[in-house]
Amino acid sequence: MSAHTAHPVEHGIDAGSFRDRDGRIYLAGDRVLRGLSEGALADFRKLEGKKFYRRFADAGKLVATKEVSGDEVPLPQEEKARWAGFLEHERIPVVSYAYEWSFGMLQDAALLTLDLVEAAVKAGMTLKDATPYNVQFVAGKPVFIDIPSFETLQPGSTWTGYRQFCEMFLFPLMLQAYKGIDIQPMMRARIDGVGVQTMARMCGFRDRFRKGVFSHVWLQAKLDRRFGATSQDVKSELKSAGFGKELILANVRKTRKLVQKLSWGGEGSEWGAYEEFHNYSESDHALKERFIDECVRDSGAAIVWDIGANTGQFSRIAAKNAQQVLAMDIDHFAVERMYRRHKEEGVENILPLVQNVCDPSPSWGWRGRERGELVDRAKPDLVLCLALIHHVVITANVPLDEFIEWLASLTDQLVIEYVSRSDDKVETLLRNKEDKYHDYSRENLESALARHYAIRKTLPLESGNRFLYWCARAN
Amino acid sequence: MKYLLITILALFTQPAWAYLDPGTGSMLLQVILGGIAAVGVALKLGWHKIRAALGFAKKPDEDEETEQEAS
Repeated sequence: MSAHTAHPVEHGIDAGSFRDRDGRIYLAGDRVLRGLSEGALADFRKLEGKKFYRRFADAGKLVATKEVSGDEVPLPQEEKARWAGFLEHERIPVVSYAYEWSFGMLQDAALLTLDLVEAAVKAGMTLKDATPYNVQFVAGKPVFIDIPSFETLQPGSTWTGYRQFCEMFLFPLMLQAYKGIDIQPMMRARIDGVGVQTMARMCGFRDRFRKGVFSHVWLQAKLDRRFGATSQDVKSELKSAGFGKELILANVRKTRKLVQKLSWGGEGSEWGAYEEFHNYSESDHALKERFIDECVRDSGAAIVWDIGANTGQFSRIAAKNAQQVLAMDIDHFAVERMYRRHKEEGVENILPLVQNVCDPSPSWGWRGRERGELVDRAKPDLVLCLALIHHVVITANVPLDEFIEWLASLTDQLVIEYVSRSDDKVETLLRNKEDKYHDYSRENLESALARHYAIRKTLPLESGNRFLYWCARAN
Repeated sequence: MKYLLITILALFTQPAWAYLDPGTGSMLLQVILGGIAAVGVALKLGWHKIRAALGFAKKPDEDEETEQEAS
């Protein structure tokens, strides 16, 4: 970074960074800057001197961060004047949120958070909050990004982020592991996660005997109701009673054991095992793979979305040439399997996400802008839409031309597979449904595509039921 | 012993959420979760909490109850 005075560039305040009053994030060009209050700056300088900070940073578990002088910050004077100092963070390639993650992703983000609390507390610091929005996935692994969340541990203080940890990590994970309730709709319904009282109501009497439910859910809800309105200064009382950091450490370690033991085997998943019984021949499969490989390579796309990625087989082919692939599927367990497999194999440039294309991640939260749409976080250069259109049109009732219009609003390049009515997958979808899908035809698809794109390449598969199109924006 | 204590504590408590103070109950829970490490703290925190839970201490007044329903 050059040391000369930086001129103001077009900048924006990150809409989701308002909660912590001791700082604010600015996006200036492609730089990520963070203004800090005097107290937060002092805590950062202290943090930098800690061994645990270096250890986690060197392992890539903390976002690369450095202090920058006001001269290097390309912000207007009045913004600069608000803060005692600035940090610069490395940019996260694709920002994703807990309601797009699979069970294992939320679990790994939870474990990282707990490891950081433990290490920080040992070193006389703490994390002031505990939310999955402070964790991002980079190169297949969780990375903690909210550096000013580390603050000095005040004598006698409890683990301040405990309750938030429960609501944002532990309860959603328990719901999935114990009751098969998917985490994504829970995390998308309420920006602060699953509330203590809500969780307690969702757990029945028998659930109290499951590990962790009695204390973290039932008892916490009870105590919360009993003491939530107390006029006593519990904080000071705990301090004078000698609440020490050994207690925080004991609680964090126990919670870690509990989180690590939670597991989910995909109960209720419809698509988990699709690859094993796809209904087309091996030679068709090979043809399709080669076609995708060539299209991705020739498209020169850096960011590829694979919508309806299922097992991720085509995402992995795309990842050979693309910089970053977003492998999305509506099925939670399909995404979970991708995450587990890629973690094991060390695949770095595929981000698996739970995503329903007919109900994509909205812009929501404070002012409807706290968390953004996926397309604003990672606009695709190429979208792969393989064996998906029949689900969109016939299962989700989206008109075919509207679907193509939506795709065209997303991307300049598209690879799309048409599954004809004589394919047994389509026959299954129509078996118990009145066929009002007269727009579902190859001719209609081709004319819809032609309204937005030029078709660069077509491949009919040998079965005669499936057709692949590579389209690029007509200039 | 621990479970007996917390069960008694929890069973005899009454809802009283006049206004939201989200952390208090969770802070107290951390003493219970702390196990052996927390015994000293729990003792020092005093009998009055336990007495209150068992109903020996002053109950919340009518106004608090009303506020609770309104919230």
